[in-house]
Amino acid sequence: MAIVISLAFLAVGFLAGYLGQNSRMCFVGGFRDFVLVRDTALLEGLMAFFATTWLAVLLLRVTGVLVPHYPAFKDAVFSTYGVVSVVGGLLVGFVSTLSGGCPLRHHVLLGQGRLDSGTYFLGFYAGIFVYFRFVVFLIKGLF
Amino acid sequence: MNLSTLKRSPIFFGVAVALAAVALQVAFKDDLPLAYGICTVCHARDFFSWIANHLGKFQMDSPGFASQALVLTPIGLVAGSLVASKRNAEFKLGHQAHPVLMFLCGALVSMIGLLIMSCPTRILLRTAFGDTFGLLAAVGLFCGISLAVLVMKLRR
Repeated sequence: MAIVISLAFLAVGFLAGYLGQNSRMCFVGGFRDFVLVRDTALLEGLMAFFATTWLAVLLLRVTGVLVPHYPAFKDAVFSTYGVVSVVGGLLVGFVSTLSGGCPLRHHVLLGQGRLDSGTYFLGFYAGIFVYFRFVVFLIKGLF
Repeated sequence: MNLSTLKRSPIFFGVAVALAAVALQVAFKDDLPLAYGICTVCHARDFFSWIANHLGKFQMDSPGFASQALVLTPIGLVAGSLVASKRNAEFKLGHQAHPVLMFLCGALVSMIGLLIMSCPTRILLRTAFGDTFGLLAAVGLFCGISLAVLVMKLRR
């Protein structure tokens, strides 16, 4: 069972990497290009991703295959984690734009042989290590 | 529209990857958390956590299935891009311009991403699944991108 899950993730990653290299898709770049130079090519991809997932989830919800349960809108907005989500999203967007793309785009760039993205991933995994070694204990009581 | 122009289209990327992510979600709906089909930060965390747990006693709070299954999405992404760039003759080793900046950017993105449990990809995926926290993070993401574009324009 475990090997099936691993291979399924590998297949989805391979598909996203293959198509991502061909289409130069970037989840930060879509909105950035639109704001910067009014180029909508990547924004269309972003919207297609959102719309397809939304329709698929709607279909699953109607047929009862998968019914996602989430906290109500009002509870979520007026909570500590809601504020953390907005600020965290803002920081992720800011830093990703400065580094030139979202993490998915950097995976693709690393596959193309860009060494800048290699350094990015050294920092990326160092960040994960530091988060679970130190930061997680600092923020434990907050939410 | 033939296949070579189709695979160059970002819209095709969006549709194909979204369908793959939802299909994965449905296929393993008992094991996976919601909206977990594709994510770079969380899957890198699971990948790192599997290796760390098998090397020593280092614990991370990955979802339950990740202690048995090695989540190979990061490897798949890099391998897919490598194959595609070799086929398109776009593979070029090099371009090391700002090592310190890139290291810091990577560390910040992964740490903040773990705090909100999303990379930009999963923020959109969660919003489409109906998660209000995802929607809030998406609003923040778009504000952050606009802010960064403003800073880039002012510095020029």
